[in-house]
Amino acid sequence: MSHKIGSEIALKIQRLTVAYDSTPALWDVSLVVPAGVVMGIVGPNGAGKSTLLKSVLGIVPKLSGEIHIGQTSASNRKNQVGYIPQKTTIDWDFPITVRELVLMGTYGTLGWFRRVGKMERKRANDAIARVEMDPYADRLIGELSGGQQQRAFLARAFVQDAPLLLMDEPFSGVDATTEKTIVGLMHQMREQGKTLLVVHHDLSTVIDYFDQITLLNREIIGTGEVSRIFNQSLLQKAYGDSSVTKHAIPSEKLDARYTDGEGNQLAD
Amino acid sequence: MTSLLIWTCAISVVTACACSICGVYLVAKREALISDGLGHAVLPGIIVGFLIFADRNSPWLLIFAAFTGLGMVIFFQLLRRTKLVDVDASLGIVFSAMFSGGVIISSQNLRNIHFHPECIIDGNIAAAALDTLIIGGYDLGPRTFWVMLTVLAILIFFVVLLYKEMNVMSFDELFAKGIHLHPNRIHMIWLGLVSLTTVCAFETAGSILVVALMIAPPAAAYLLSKGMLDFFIWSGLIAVVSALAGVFLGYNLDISPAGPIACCAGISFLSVALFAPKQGLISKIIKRSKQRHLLFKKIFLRAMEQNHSGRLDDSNLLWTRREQDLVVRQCLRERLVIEQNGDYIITNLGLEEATSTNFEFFK
Amino acid sequence: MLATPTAREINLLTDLFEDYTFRVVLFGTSIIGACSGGVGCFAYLRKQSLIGDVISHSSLLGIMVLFLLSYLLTGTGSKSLWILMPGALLAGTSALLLTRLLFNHTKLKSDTSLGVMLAIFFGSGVMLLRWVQRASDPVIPGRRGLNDYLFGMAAAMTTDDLWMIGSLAIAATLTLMLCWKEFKIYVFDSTFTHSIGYRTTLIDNLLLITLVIAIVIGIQAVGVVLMIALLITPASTARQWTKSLGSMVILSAMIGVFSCAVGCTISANYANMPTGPVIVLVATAIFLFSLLFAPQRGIIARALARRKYSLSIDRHQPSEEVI
Repeated sequence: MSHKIGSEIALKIQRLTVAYDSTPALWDVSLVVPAGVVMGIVGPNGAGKSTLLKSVLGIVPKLSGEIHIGQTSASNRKNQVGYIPQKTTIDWDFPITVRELVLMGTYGTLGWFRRVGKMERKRANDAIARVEMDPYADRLIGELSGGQQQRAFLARAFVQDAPLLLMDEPFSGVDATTEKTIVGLMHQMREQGKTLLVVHHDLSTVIDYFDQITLLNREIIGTGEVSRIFNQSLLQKAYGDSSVTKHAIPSEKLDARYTDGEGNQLAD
Repeated sequence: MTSLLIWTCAISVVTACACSICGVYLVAKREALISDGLGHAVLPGIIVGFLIFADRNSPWLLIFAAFTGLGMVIFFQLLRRTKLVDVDASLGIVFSAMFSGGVIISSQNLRNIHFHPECIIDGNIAAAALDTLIIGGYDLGPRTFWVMLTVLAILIFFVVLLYKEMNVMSFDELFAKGIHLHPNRIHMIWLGLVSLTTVCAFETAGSILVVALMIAPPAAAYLLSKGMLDFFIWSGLIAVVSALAGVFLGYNLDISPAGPIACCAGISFLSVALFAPKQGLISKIIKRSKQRHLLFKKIFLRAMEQNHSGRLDDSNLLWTRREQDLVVRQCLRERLVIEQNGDYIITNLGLEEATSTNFEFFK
Repeated sequence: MLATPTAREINLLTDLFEDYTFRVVLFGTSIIGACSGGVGCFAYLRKQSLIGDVISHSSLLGIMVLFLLSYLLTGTGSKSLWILMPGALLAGTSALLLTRLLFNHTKLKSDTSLGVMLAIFFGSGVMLLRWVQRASDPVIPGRRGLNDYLFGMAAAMTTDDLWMIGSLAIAATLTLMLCWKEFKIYVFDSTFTHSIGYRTTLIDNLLLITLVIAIVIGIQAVGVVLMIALLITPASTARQWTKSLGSMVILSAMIGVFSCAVGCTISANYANMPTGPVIVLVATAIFLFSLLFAPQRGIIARALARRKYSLSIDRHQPSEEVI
């Protein structure tokens, strides 16, 4: 199936430079994410992948550049961006149930001091139902399986109803089945018109999971359709070491899928 | 200078050296707070040992109490392994409970003997300096001095013996496991030695000084040194200086030297943290502002390169006017841009600079 | 010595409850227990338990400095909490901020930064304490009893102190209740909190101040050395029994009150019983009990469940631990 790519822009980053201390983590990054695609961000360790997400979230101060989310400037990002954190950064022993976690998605509209009301609870319940987590709504998050945990966080993003969803390495530390579930959910989100920006590590699955990718190593090495970007020379430029990338691209797979060459859509 | 003062200095110096050697490895392993735990947890061992052996000079007491310290570590690790309690919290729970037990037993049974509860905090070097060791009619000086010297010798022996292993372990535990170094075994041996040192230093130094001397000098040394050997030497040096300064400060204020030594160790740490040539706060701030300046220059040139109008489009640059002016002036000076009729024009040199993005340059 | 209470001792106990001073002390320590138990949950969940240790030890320096200041200004060292408490708050907060400075701007790790600050602040505090207490001149009036800040002496609490403790505790509790939602989401997921438009530095600072308040109000009764236990032991205990943050905080506060009340009663009944250690031992006993017997999470419950599981599938459970 094909998407109306290019008609609408979900995220536009212009000439962004970000530095922690003084070393640039992102250097002159410009990037356009069309609405309704699943875009992977791929690059070596320390390439600034998480920093890119954090600057879209407005957490790290930028030195130059602009970020537009949808039609608005990033300063008004309250319910424009959903965020699913890396599994390892969450304290799974925190005493919180799925329902409460999902309710957190409503805190953005509530603001300081206001408490959760009936409206919010209903929205949370709807979101839980959408990811089919009703039976587990009152479980602690630590008691869930890996796939259920990701679904709970997806439900939180649903509640926010944000058109753009950022995921930080959703596949790190999960088993193969869970990984499949998450990919299914990602594509389901896309069907609903959401845009997903996913930091990704595993080069061998890039072709299957994403519509578009961005190769990043502090600068943008390449961005666009997987078929156009995901090639040996660009990968080598990003990783600077051929041994990492040599076996990453199953070349026959690429050839089989993209016989037309450039500009083709990723078939599902 | 009286001989008592000299012996006080000697005891403090030896104690300081022993503690700082212990601390080096703990700081490198990111377990500095274990020393805080041990400083508290050996108390019940010392008290109960005293009740059992009825002789505070007994080496059995020292060994018994050292094992109590090791017991704290084992308790702590067991608790951690249940994963029911957060790591930091389990350390805090275990050592505070053991310390409470020690304080209660001592205030019930030993209030009028040697272990006055207040001595738990800062020890009693003056008393220790008076308690001399007499062998065959010769006065050899305070017993504590010889005990601490023995401990120091044992520590140095183990450091020499395990130098290579510890060096590897402090920096890369997985690698150490890979080459079959038994990091756990060595770790436990070392914690046992730390515990022994804590016990022996306790009566002279009290828990506060043990903790201060185990953390502050190694922490300062960490900012000054490049390798493990440097680390040990700096740490020992700072500990000795703090000990001497502390004894004289305490002497002049007419108080027990433990608090002043801890204070001096703290001050030497703070001065290192501020003024250390590479890792100090001041040099870091200077270096950082220099690099930030370089970064601004590059961003500015990039903006100029892409912007052919020759005017600086500052809507994308999110820094203050002052920062911008500084950068522009520097670029003019280096002839990376030139000024023409109020506009800036980028030179070929500037273009070259703008297109090269060598990140190593920033490090 | 501890023994089973005899009739005479029980009589003594009822006498105690009628005693006004004892009621003040009991009420005061209960407030302290509730406050530190409740706030301690947030420190525990943020994995910052040992920060409490640094704050409490550091507060000794603030207390000594303000004691000496009051001596210089009035000629008598004041031990009123209204005067000493601001010093403790200031010292605790600055120790924490300096720790952060070290951690953020040097290559020192968090444990070392914490340890160093503890050593500096507590070392200087003890030094000043010893100087005030030394035998030679100047003899500072009012210096007796300063020692009790080390291990706590609940009996030293006056009605005036109770008002101070009470008002600070109310301030902390109100902050906690008003910013409940914000604290909860921030402690759980600070990145997300920032991303939905909250000012996380503000939340962080509020949480920090609440924590410092909860710690310093207890140092008179429990002592700077052991205040950490009152902060984290009830929280760790409550974590074993509860499934939500709300119930965890309430249970933890209740455990704090109970430990303090029991500890304070024991301490008042027997000679040479410093209050702090007794309170800590009571809290630790409850903790150990919970660790073993808590439903679901408890060690015994888990062992039973594992046994049942391995019997039901008739083979060994795959090992859980991957290190």
